[in-house]
Amino acid sequence: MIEAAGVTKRFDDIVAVDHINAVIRDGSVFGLIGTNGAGKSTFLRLASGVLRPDEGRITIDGEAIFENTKAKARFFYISDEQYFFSNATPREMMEYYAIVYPKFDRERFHKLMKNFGLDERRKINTFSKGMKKQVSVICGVCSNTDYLFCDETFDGLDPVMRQTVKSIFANDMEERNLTPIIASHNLRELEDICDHVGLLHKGGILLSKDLDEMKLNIHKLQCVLKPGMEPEELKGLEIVKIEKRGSLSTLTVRGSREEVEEKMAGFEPIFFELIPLSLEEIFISETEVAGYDIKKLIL
Amino acid sequence: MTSKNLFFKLEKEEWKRKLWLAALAFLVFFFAMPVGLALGLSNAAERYDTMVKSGQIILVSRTETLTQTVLNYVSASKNGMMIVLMIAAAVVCGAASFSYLHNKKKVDFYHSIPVKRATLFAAAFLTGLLIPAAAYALNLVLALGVAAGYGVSLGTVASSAAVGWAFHMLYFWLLYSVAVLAMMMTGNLVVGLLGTTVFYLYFPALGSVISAYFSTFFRTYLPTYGERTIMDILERISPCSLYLLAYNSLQPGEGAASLIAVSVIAAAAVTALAAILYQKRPSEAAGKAMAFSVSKPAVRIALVLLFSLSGGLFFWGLHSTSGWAVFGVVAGAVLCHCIVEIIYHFDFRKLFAHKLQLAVCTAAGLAVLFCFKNDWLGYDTYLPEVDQVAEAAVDLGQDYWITYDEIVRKEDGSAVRNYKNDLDYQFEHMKITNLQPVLEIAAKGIEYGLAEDQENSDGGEYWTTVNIQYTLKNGRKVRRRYYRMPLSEVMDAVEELWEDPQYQYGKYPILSKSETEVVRAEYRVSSGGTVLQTAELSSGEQVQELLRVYKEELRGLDIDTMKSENPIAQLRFLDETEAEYADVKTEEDSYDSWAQDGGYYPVYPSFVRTLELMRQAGMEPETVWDHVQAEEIIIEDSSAMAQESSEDFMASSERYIFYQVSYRNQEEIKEILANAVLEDYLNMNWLAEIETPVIYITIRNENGSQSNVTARFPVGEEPDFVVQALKAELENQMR
Repeated sequence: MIEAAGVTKRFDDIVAVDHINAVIRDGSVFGLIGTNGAGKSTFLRLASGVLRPDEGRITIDGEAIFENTKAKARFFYISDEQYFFSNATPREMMEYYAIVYPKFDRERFHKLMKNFGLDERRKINTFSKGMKKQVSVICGVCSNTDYLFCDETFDGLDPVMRQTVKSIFANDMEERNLTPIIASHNLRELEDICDHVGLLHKGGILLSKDLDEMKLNIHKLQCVLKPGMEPEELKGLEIVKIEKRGSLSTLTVRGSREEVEEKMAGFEPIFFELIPLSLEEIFISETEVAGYDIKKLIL
Repeated sequence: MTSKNLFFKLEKEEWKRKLWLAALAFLVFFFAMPVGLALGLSNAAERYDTMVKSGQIILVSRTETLTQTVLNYVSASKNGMMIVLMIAAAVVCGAASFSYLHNKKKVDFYHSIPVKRATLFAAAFLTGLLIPAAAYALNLVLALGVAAGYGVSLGTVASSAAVGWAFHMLYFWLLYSVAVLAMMMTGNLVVGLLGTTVFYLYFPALGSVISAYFSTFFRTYLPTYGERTIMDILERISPCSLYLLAYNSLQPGEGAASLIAVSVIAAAAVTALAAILYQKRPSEAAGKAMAFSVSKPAVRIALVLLFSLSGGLFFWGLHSTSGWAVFGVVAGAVLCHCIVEIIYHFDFRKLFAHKLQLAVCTAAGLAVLFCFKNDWLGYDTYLPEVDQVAEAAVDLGQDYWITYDEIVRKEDGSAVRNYKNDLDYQFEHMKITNLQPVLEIAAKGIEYGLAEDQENSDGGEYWTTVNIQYTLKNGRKVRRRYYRMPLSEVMDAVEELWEDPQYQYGKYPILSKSETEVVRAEYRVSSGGTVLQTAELSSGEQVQELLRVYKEELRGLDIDTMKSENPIAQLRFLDETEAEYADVKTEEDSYDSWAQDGGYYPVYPSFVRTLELMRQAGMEPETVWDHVQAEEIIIEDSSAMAQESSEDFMASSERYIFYQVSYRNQEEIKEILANAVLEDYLNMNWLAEIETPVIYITIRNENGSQSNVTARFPVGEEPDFVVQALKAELENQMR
């Protein structure tokens, strides 16, 4: 488990990360969402031991990370612009990583390179941006570390590759309890992979919640009410948002599915249906409650 | 995996990453060592063969010549090109090994992997050190192969080559660790290179500027050689200076051990500091100008002060007024401050960030300027109290004929000349404890130094520059130089000083020479390179006795004697090493000022006992003109066309009229010569008073050729017939 307690990092006069408290549980996918400059990369650089926190403490299972090789051997950090040695080939990078990550799986590396259609002997500097990202991910998963820190890793991958990578992550989570921590400014990118999401804004975590928990407790309700009845009259429902188009009302409501369905049945509508919310819609709802306009924070 | 294994694996990876550097190093050393040596040997062999063919006498064999050529390339002290090469290599290796710290991507990569920073530092540092070491060693072996191909015995040169390698690699280590330190303290490659330049040159530059302030603004400043002043110490705080000093100290007769020990300690300390800074260095420093905020003001203030002082000096040099000097200080400070701020912020608009610091630095620069210019600290008027001084040394700046160079024996047994500065010798050997005359002379020097218009204060005699060193009771040495002061004003003090045995001992190296060590005495009467009479004495007892008596009579030479007499001959006493050196130089037929003129001392007519012993050895200066055929004498004089200070005189294109008379009559020639003193001997007596006519003597040598010597008449010694003849000639020409 990775735990950040009151972690703060300043760059001269700029507070990049401001007293962040977060817990990243093992075996789940942690999504770190935020606009550019929100502090996502800084948080990952702090978590990977590149930066030393000015205040607070960031640990892996209780052990401080900075200058602790034992703790650092448990993760692989893929930065937003991963560095490859000058004129190096993927094979050469593999050789280097195999030295510093004792559990590096060379066989899997060869297999994945082949599956991704990447030439191990070709110089990386001749690869496209997306191909370089693929090499980074392959190196990362083959390092067999407990955690994989990905900073905007999915940015630049085509949809097919994105799915492939997600399936590799899912497989590793299943097989060896891998915990990917994925930072991105794009909610849609994380929607179908994250279990837990932290929203960073201005260096602080605005909210950090389990995605399933959020999904189970908030719903989109489409309904046609009895003539003369308005959505505001649906007493007992915790309505977050109301949109009305003709006789069709679309509501965002809190509560469990069963609870909402039961209450709606009591109002005898002409028609009603519960639809799952997208991650973006959930965030809009959650942050609006907190007084923020999500559209200004994300996308 | 053990950390040891990890280190070696990382080291191997570092070599893989730095293959380009290894290739570059190999290439440079290849051309510098085996190729350079092959060319050198080829030239040396060709030159030797040509000399043999042309029938020239060569004292060394072909193999010895080639061996010497090899030693010139591979040994520590003979190949100055290696210094340039090592400095360049250190900068390149320092930048190549640690420039990754200046790149965010690379820093993220290296600092996120599970390797301790100490290990990363060690692997990168060692690679940068080992690559040139290996390239140098490999090419040294190739060079020795080339030498063997030319028949040079490797046994003779291999040890010198190994010592040379170790010496140059030690200084590479020092230079490289300083370059690494600069990379560590900066976040940008260009700034890192500028930082390296600052570390290499700042303190020598500061020392030079301070030294220039002393010499520009203090009349009595005496530059020192060898003694440690603040300027010397500053000039040594640089890896380049240490390297050069150690290189020069490897020359014959000097000890380099202490410098090398200091350099080893310095290299180890700088390496340790760089390792500590690597650990402390924040990763986010990549891309910034400076990695540590705390170093920013320190570097800025140091640079601004240096440039403000330099600016003041520069403009004072262009136009010596306070206004321009102030302008120079302000301009230097502002320019430097602005440039540093632009570099720090990578932003032109930050020119005047930290205005207060700029103001303080400018004020400090101006304070230093006026402190020197107005001598606020009383440097030029310094005169210690008698009870403050333990001993003193004085150079009256008169006897330039004394040779202070030493002939010493090298480790290989050969005799070599060790150049010695005359002041260094005197200040080292002279320990005057009777301080009253010294302080009296110094006080007069201060008085003349303070005089606004020294030209009007003439009327005195024996104008000279006096150098004084006080060794204070606290061990500190203080030196002063008094320009243009007349010794006639302090003649009593000079006389007292002249007779002080401590003064004599420090002034005449011959007085330190033991009778038992001399093997030969050489006598000559000569002037301007023309030897009129010469003789040698090699009999041990006679030489020893002659030296003993000469030293006694030299000690007894007082001011009155020098005013009334002039030398008539010269003697020198050689120990075994000196005799060998003189003989080798004579055999080689190569001009060497020491072999020809070094160590000769004057013999005055009042040195009665010396002259008696000389006569017994066949050295008879009184009879020199009996054995030399003076064929013709021309006596030339001049007269000013008008009063020398008058406007007519200054406006005239021909200010003097020259006139001469010549003599071929042997009786007249004999009378002239009996009264004349050879020019060289007058130069050995600063108290000699002479008439204005110059005597040109043409001598017919035994082989029929002609030589010329110049002489002068002491005051009152000009024969009447010469006076009359010159007067008549002047009148004739004026008519």
